[in-house]
Amino acid sequence: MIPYFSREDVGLILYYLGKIIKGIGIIMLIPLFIGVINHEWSPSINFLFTSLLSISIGCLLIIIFQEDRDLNWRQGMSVVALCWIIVMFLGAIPLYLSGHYINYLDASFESMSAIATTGLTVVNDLDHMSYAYNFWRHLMCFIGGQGIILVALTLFVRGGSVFKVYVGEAREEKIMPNIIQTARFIWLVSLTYLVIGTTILFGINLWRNMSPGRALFHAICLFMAGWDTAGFAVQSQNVLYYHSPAIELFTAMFFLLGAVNFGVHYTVWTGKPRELLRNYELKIYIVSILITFFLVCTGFIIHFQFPDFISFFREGFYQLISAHTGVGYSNMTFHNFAYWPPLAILGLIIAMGLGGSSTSTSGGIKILRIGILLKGIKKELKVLTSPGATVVVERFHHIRDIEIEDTHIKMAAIIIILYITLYITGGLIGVFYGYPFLPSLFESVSASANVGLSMGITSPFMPAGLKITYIIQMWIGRLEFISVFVLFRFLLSLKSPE
Amino acid sequence: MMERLKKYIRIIDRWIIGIVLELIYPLITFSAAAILCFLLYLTVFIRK
Repeated sequence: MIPYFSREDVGLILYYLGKIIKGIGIIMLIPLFIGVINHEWSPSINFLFTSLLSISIGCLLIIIFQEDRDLNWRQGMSVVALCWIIVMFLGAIPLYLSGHYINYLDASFESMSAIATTGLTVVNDLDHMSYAYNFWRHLMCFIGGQGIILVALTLFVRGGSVFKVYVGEAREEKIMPNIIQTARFIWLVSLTYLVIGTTILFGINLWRNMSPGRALFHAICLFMAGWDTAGFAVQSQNVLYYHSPAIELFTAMFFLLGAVNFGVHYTVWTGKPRELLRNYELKIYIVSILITFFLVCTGFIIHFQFPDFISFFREGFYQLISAHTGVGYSNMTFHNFAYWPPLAILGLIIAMGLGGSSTSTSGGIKILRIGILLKGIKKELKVLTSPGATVVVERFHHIRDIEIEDTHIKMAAIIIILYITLYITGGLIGVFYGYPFLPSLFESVSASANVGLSMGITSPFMPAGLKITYIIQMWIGRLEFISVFVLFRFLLSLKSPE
Repeated sequence: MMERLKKYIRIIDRWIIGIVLELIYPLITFSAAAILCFLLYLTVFIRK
């Protein structure tokens, strides 16, 4: 039972929110810089305005609610859930001012889609968007994928409160003993791959006769949205724009690695490479990719319409791996889904719903929870088939050897049920707005699991109610329910204080 | 000074090995998927 919140709680929550808002204002100076070096004066002014606004609000909250106390876990959870909403509204301001969005709701949709690393987009005329705005879309993906709180932990927030807010952002594993060290390690991995990935993609773009400046911009943006499993692209045709097998191969490599647990990265990087072979989550992940891909292929066997094996594999597997890792990059237009058979679509929906690894940048149920549930079923079957006094122990290897306990199984089952409920609810809301069930479910799972693939429902012209539904789904899906529940408790207690 | 330098080199060495192995991991996954896909493709091809 979550206790009611007091007036002191509100002050402390607003104080920490102030710190994060100030931090976001400072980060907005990066697209401002991009705008200035590209002589894009109107976007630069808009970013300057939004940055100053954010810094002012942040400083005001810090001054008014000056607190010298650490957060407890429910305050931390509330800070996390609220900060994602506030960052969505602040991040939407420059996007709205860009004129590429019909209204502020659309800009907020885009902003939430970026920070929740979803990749569903309602932008108009993306191909003529300025560098500064386009960079901001991708930078929000990077910040959101790393975790807004993680960014704040590394740069702006100090003190004993940090673990409570870190956990609230759906990252339950402490990779290193100290949470600040953990945050820094996650940054180290991401920045190392940022350098490697950007260099490779930059080289490919140069080789394909892009100008150096444009090649670098495309490489950075592609990597940021790919590694953080967001799925935004610089051009409206997404990855299809490049018509390049090399770009498809390398983006797929990087987003698959982005969907790997940061704890596994740490173990492999610190001299235990065998973890790649022993890790239970990785084994289940590969099996799951192959099973869902088998479903996609089987679906196509009946209505086979590809000219050759290569085009079949390129289209089928790229969508599948993009769905399973939660990226949403696509090397075809959404119109192509019209000739995808229902079984293949179902394979994609299952892949999207399952998602990537825990403590990674991807969303969805997370493959470790499926693994824990499978182990739990195995354990129960062993108990049922063993003599009465036998003690059944089930273990798996995930960075260390872990013995399955009932609490693990219970937590995994609860989160899985909540995700399935969220998926189906969104699908039914889509049906309520007049869309067929399968595309509605596809879009709902894509939003909730923060994937970003679309069968065409998501557009600037979809009903406002559906846009709000998807925003809520992206938010809840990214934070994995708990911190959102705590926030609701917080809001209810404001209305009915004890 | 030399000890510290050796320590850093050892850490960077581990990182590089780790990164290279991690980059191989997706390639193995893609190859397995490609083999699976090719077998299914052959099935369809033979049937036709």
